Parts: sequence; C-alpha cells; structure tokens
Amino acid sequence: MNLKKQLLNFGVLGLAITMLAGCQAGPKKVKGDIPLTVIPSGQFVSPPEEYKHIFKNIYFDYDKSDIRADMEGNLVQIAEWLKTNAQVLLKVEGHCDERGSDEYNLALGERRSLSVRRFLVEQGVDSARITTVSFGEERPANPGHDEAAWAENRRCEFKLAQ
Amino acid sequence: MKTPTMKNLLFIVFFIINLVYCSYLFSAEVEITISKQIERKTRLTLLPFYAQAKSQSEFIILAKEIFAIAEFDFKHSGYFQLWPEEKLPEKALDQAKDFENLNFDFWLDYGTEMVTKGIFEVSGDNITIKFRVFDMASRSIYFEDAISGSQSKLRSLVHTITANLIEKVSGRPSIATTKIAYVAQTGSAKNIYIMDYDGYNHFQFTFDDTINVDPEWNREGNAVLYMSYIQTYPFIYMKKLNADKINLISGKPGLNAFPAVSPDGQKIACTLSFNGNPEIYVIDFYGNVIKRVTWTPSVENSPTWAPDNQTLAFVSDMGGTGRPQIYVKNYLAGDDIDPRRITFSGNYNSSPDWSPIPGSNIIVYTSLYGRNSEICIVDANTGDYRRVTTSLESEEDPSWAPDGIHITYTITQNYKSDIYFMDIRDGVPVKLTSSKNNCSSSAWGPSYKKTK
Repeated sequence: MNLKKQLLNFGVLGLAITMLAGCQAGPKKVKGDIPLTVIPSGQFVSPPEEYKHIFKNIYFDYDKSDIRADMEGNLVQIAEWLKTNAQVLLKVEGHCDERGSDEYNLALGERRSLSVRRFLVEQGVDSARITTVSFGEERPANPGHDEAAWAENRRCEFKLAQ
Repeated sequence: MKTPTMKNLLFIVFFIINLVYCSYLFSAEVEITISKQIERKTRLTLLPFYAQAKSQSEFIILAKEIFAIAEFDFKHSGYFQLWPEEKLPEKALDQAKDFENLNFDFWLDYGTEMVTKGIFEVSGDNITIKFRVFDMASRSIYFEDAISGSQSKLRSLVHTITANLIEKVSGRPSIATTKIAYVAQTGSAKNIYIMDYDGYNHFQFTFDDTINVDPEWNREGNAVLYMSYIQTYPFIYMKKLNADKINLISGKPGLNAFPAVSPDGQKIACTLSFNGNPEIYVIDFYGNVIKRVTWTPSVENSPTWAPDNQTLAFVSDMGGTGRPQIYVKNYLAGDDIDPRRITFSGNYNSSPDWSPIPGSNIIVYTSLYGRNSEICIVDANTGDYRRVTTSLESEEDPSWAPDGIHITYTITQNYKSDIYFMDIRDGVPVKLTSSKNNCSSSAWGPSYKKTK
C-alpha cells in the first residue's frame, strides 16, 4: 500500500469520525448501547443437561463488567448454538459478590448481563432474543465470605425459553 | 451572570428562614454543616404523669408507659436535654400533682429551663392526656396540648403531643410521629417492613417469597415505593399503607430500580436500562419518561433529589475511575451537560441522600474505609466532607429524617445487620431492630405535618 493511499484512508476515517461526532448533536445515543425492546413471555428454565457444557457461567473481575479474554471462547460457543437454534430465547442473569452497596451491585449486575448480551449480538445473535435480569448480590452461588467465593459469585448465568 | 443572582436569591431565602426561626421563643438554630457542631439544647424537666382518679394505683403502669414514650421522644428530639441528670427527690416529683400551676421558685435551684406536667383520664377504652410546659425564664405557660383517643393508639397519642412541643421549639418537622420502612430477610426472601421511628409497632408491608427491596416513601407518607421481582423482573411498584393493591409504576425491559420521589411529590428519579445501559431517568407515577438525565457507558444508580426539585445526586463509576463516586446534575440541564463529581476522597462512595431542609447542600452517603463502610456527609457545592462514624462495624445506606438532623442507617457486624438511627451531630447509634433477620435499607418517612 503506498503512502498516498494510506493518507487518503486516514482522511476518510477522519471525516467519518467528524460526522459521527456531529451526529451527537441530534437524538443522542451512547455508543454500544443496544436497547431492550421486549419482555419475553416464555417460561425460562435452566439449560437442559446436554447443553450445560455450552451455557457455562461467565465470570467477571471485581467491580468490572467487561468480558474477560478467557470468557470469550464460551460466549462464541453460545452465540453459535443460538444461531443454529433460532427459536430459543435467552435470559442472561447478572450477579455480583457481596462487597459494595446493594444498590450499586444491582446496577453492576445489570451491566454485566448487558455486556454479555452485547457480545452475543456482535457475534450475530438477534438482540430481540436476549433479555437481561440483575440480581445484584441477592443470589450468591457460594455463600462464603472470601475471595474464592466472591470470584464464583461475580457471574452471569443463562436461562432458556422457547 | 446567572450564578450571583442565584446566590443573592439563596441569601434572601436564608435570611427569611432565619427570621422565621428567630421568631420562636426558644428557637434552637440547627444547621447541619460539615464542621462538627453541637448547639446547646434546652434543659427540660419531664415530671411524672398522673391519673385524674381517686386511686393512682391502678394507673401506675399506664403512667409509666406514657412517661417512657415522652422521655424517649424528648431525649432523641435533637433539641432537649432531659434535666436534671440525677434522679429527682420525692418532693420535686410531688410537684407534678398540681397540673394547673408551677412553683417557679422551687425549680430555680435546679437550673432547668422548662418543666412539664401531664395528667390523663381513662374512660373505658378511651384515654385523654393533657400536657403543659412551663417556661422558667418568663414564668408562664409556654405550651399546652390535650389529646383523646383509643388506648390502643396510646403511643401515637403521646408522640403527637411531644411532636407538637418539639415543632414549636424547633420550627422544624419533628420525628416523633414518623415511621421508618426497611427490608428484612427470611431465608432467601426479602420483604418490606414498617415501624415507628422509636422501633415499636413493626408490621410486614409486602408478602411474597421473592426480593422486595429499596423502600421509598411518597411525600404524603401514606404509600411506599419499592423494587420487587414479584413479576420475575426488577420493576418499581407502589403500595398504600392501608391497602392490599400493588400498583406497577415502571416495568420496562431491563432494570427498573431505586425510586426517589421528588420533594414536590410529582416526579420519580430512578435507574432504567431499557436503552441498553443503566442510566438515571425522571419518570411520572405512570412510568412515562419525563427526561433521561445521564448518557454514559458506565453504571448510574441511587438518585436522590435536592430540595430544589431539580438537582439530582446519584452514584456513577464514570470518568474512568472504575469506582463509584457521587455526581450531581440538574435533571432539566441539556443532554450534553456532564454531571459534576462531588466526592474525591475514598474510592467507593455510594448511597447518597440529600438533606430535605430547603436550601441545604448537605448529602449523607456511605464511603468505604478499608473493609468497612462508614457514614459521611458532603457539601454538594464545595465538596467539603466529614466522616460521621468511626466504629469497627460497617455503617451504610443512610436516609435523612424530615428534621434534617437525624438519619436512619444499617450497621452490619459479623454478617448480621440491623437498623439504627442517630443524631448526625453526636453520632450516637440508637438500635431499632434486633438481629433475628438481616434488616437493611431503611428509609425515613415524612413527618405527619406534611400528611395533614
């Protein structure tokens, strides 16, 4: 690639960024947010035994909601399964460890669910099929009060419905 | 320029408020400021209550009960010091028998400023209580009140009388007749309960085996808003105290949480995530969005209203700190106006509650110190803050009383939590629940004056 072409690409990119920034003046939207449009009426249940190895819990770092690199593989698998089973709806349940305020953790759990949802949508799953629910620190997987328990509790679990 | 005008206006408002306060004979000027400050309290001698009957013996227990209710109210009013500190001799207690007059000369040696007298009359289930307060300085009756009602409502009758005296002295709403809503856990279920501010008359308010949390009173004090999973997802509901019907307020996809009713009672600030991220919104009582307040890629929660009905304080981990801090923003400000951060000390500040006193900038909140959380107050204008609690337990989730002096909050010790209140000036905890269930998330209801 010659230098002139590279510069031209840069210019186009720059223009695109300027246009995007300009768009912010109109109806505002935060980049990456994918609206939740429906509350599914289906009865959500734990994934059947034969799919449990696919719908493994997704774990998070303390006070973080971004998807850890070691969790991406699991999520890619889930996305592929959802794409081949297009009639199935997914509920992502967000949880936190007990540290910090109940209220902040409730919001953080929701954000963890939404991070998982966004990742799956980026893999090509229809956003309308994925709903979220946060339980904050109300439903720990491990009742302990140490780092090992906390690491197990900072998680997203999956429920399925047809 | 806009700011100086606002300041002048505020100054005038303060001036008028001060004038009104000064017009009260015993007006104790109470202003919660960041610097620790305890005003001198009025010395009050509470004499025993006497029955208007031939024989006192059958009313001894009732008399003691009335006295105990009134004693607690005055002790925790924030404006009185019960006086003298030592026990009164018989001849002083005997003075209570003459309801009509006070021997002012007798009390001069005690250095007290007010002396109370109370009598009551029982007729069937009905009780009438008369209460009189003598002012030593002017040698006259300062306050007089009488109330009648069923004996089953005895506590409420006494609280009403004490509240009337406290409000006359302070010019502020009294907490004596208020209620506190809180959350108690049974197994994995959490339900809302309500009690009197002094820890009596607990009753269960929600009844299901899901999670019902985060109670918030409406301005009339006759209904509580809260978040519940009763319909699977976290929605905001409202239920009246004397009704079984539960009204859905906000049931949008995603999170509907942390309802905070504006001081004018017209709007609700809350967190909604239907746009794809937890953000602060202002909605009406039918769940319609009036205004979206924040536009961030981070988590926003726990909004609280300033007395101006416009400014909101809330928690956010925006700004790249990756930790929750408290921010403020006028909900009517433009979408491109960024919230202003007001807490800079500590890396985990949460659960803000803005003082209900008109013109106040003081926000009470929780700050993490090492492993324990502590109660702090911050001035939303200057960012000056003060740590209020220093114990080895965790103190958290404070909520202002309508008098702007007291807060209710949770103390957690060995993973067991209970509800307490304190006068924020002296920081002495008063326990209201006993550890059978984990109790948390207390919200102080409005004073009865507002419900009239």
